[in-house]
Amino acid sequence: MSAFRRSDDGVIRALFTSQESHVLINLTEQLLELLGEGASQISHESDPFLHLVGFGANELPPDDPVLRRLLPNAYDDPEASAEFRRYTEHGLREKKRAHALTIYEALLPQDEEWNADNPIERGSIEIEIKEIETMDWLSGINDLRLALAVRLGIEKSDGSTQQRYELMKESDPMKAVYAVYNWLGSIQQSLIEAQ
Amino acid sequence: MVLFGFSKEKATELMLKVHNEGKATVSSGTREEMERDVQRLHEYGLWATLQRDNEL
Repeated sequence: MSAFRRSDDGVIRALFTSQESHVLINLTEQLLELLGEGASQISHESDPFLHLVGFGANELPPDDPVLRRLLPNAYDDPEASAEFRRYTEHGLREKKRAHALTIYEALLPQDEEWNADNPIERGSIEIEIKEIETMDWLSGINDLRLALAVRLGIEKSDGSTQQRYELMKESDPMKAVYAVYNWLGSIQQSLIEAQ
Repeated sequence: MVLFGFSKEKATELMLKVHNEGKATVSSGTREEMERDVQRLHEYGLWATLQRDNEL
């Protein structure tokens, strides 16, 4: 990946290798799927008003720890938290899905013969981020990084995490996940510096 | 992201407080206003909660 550079027209560009692009497509697909899971189905028949204003009916925090981090409780008090969630969780899921979708669509190859199961090597790919999409990218990449942090069990940045993963065998799949986690951090940094 | 209009220095100070102490107070006001702020912070992936002042 080359560093993101901002041109005079406000567009931020970087070159990704096709492998990097596939990793990011994959992650955003998983995030989109996860954010769709357990989303309360707003039934048109059951409550037309709720449907109209886009409120969900979820009151309990999600079971998945990643979702609990992305859609956290707003209060320590479970009752107040439940009420807040009921009115806001649906909208928050939609916002986060929209951010992930901006990234996904920027990465998805335009050529028709390409499909995710049979990726054709395309060398490096130029990623273009319009000024208006920058916050979507920053928020979306941050959500992906938080999701991986939860899966990796990272809670503090006291150096112990880095040590733990450096000592891991190369064959350990979590070592690769940790590398992706670090890479997402460098995308964030590059995007902020290009702004 | 411009949410509270903090200067870069103030924002950095608050960021370091979260980093070192686990949390920082970034906003205070009526319950309605704070719920709106928490909602916005959650959109940015920040782990925000709100509480009554006398519980601090």
